[in-house]
Amino acid sequence: MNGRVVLEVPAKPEFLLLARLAATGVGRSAGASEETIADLKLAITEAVANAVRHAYPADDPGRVWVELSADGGKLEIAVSDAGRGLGGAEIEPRAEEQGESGMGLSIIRAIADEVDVGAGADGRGTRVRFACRL
Amino acid sequence: MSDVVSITVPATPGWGGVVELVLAGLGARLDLPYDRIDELQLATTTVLADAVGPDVRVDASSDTASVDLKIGPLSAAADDPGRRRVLDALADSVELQPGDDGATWAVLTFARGGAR
Amino acid sequence: MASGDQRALLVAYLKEGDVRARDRLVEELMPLVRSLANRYAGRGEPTEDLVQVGAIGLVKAIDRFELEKGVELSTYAVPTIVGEIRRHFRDRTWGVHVPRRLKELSMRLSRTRDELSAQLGRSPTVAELAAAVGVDEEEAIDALEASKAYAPRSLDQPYDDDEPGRLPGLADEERGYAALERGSVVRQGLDALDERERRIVVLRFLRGMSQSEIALEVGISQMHVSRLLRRALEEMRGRLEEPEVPA
Repeated sequence: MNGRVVLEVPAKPEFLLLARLAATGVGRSAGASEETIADLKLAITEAVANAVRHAYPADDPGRVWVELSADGGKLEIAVSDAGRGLGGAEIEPRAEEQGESGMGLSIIRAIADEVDVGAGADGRGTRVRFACRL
Repeated sequence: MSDVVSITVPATPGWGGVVELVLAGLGARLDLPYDRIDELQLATTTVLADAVGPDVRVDASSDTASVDLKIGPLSAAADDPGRRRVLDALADSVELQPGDDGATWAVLTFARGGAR
Repeated sequence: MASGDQRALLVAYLKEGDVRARDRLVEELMPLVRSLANRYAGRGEPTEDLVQVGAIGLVKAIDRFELEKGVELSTYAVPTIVGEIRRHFRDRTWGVHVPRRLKELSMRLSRTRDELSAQLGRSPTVAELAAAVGVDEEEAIDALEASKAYAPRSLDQPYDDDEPGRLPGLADEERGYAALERGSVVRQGLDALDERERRIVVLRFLRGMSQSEIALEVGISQMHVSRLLRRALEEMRGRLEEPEVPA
C-alpha cells in the first residue's frame, strides 16, 4: 500500500517509542518483512536520537518530524529538526562524522540505502534521508 | 505537560492501523489502562472514516486529567447521529468545530482515570 | 427466475421476516456469486472460500435491499459480493505478514489481560501487561495491535482460544435492538451485523457496558470483544472505498 505518513513529536527521548511504532505500522502496511521492519526501526531510532541529542538546547527542546513514504518497492524515510543544523556555531563542520551522531549515521549507512544528510526544508536544522528496500 | 504529538496519514482505509499503533504508544507512555487505550483507538478510527483527505491529521495532547485528540479535516457526515452515539459512548466529551481550513474537526476528550 | 418472483420473495423477507424466502433468494443467486468468485480464482485462495465469502456479501445485500429503489437485486448485490471477496483478500494478506511470534505473544497477552483485570479490579496498563508476560512495552504494543488490526477476518474463527458457540441471553438484547426505529442509522448499521457482533454493539453502545463487563457477560476474552467491536463498527460505517485486490 503506497502512501505517506508524518509523525511530529517533541525532541525528547521518551517519544522515540512513537517513531518506532509508526515505522512498524508503515512497514506492515507496505508488506515489509520483519527483518526490514527491524532495520527500519533501528535506523529511525538513530536518526531521531541524533535530533534529540544535538538539534536543540537542552532546556528548550523543539520538534522532530519523521516522514515515512511507502512507494513501489521501497520505504523512504526523512527525519528532520529545526535546530542548529550541521553548520551551526556550536557544532563543528563535519561533526556528523564523529562522536555519537557519527556513530548513528554510520549505523544508518550500514543498514539503509541512499543515505543523504542535509539542511531542513527551509534551510534550518538537519534532515537525514534514507531508503529501505522492501 | 503540553507535549503535542501529531500524526498525518492518507485519508484512505488501511492507514488507521498506523494511527492506532502511535496512540497505543502514547497511551502506554501515559500509563492509561488498556481499556482506555482501546476506546481511544476505536473512537479515532470511527472519526477517521469521515476524513475528507487527501490527508488526515490527529493531534494528541494531554495533561494530568485527560487526553485530548483533535482530528480533521472531516466531512459534514461526521455529525451523523449514529456516529455521535458511538463516540459519546467512547469519549468523555465530543465536539465538532470548524477548523481554519473551513472543514469540520473533531475534538475528543478522554479522562485519564480508570476504565469506566 | 423472473424478477417478479424475486420481488415477491424480497417482500416476503423484508416486510414479513420470512427467512425461508431469503434462503430461496440466496439459492437462486448463487450462480452469480460463483461467477464472481471465479474471476478471483487462481490468486492463492481456494475458490470455495471465495464463494463462501461472496455468499455472505449476497446475504448482506438482500438484508440491506430497499424495495422502494426499484433496482434489480442482482444489480444491487454485485458490488456487495465483490466487496466482500476483496476484503477477504485484503485481510488474508494482512494476516500472512504477522509473524507467528507475534500471534503467540498476542494470545498470551489476551489471557493476561483478562487475568490481571480480575486481579486488579481494573484494566491493566501496557507496562503491567508487558511485565507480566516478560516482554518490553514496545513488543507488547506491537502484538496487541497486530491481533486487532491484522487478524484475518475468517468467518467465525476466533483469533485466540475463545469459544465461538451460540450466545445465551440474546433475546434480551434483541428487545433493545427492536426498539430502534427500523430505518434509523443505528438500526441500519446493526442490520449489517451478524448475531454476535450485534449483541456486543447493543451491550456497549445501547446498554453502556464496558468492554470488560461485556467479556464477562458474553464469556469471551476482552481482546475478542475488542476485535468484534472493531469489526462491527467497520461494518456499520459501510465501506466507502474497497481496497485493491493484490495481483
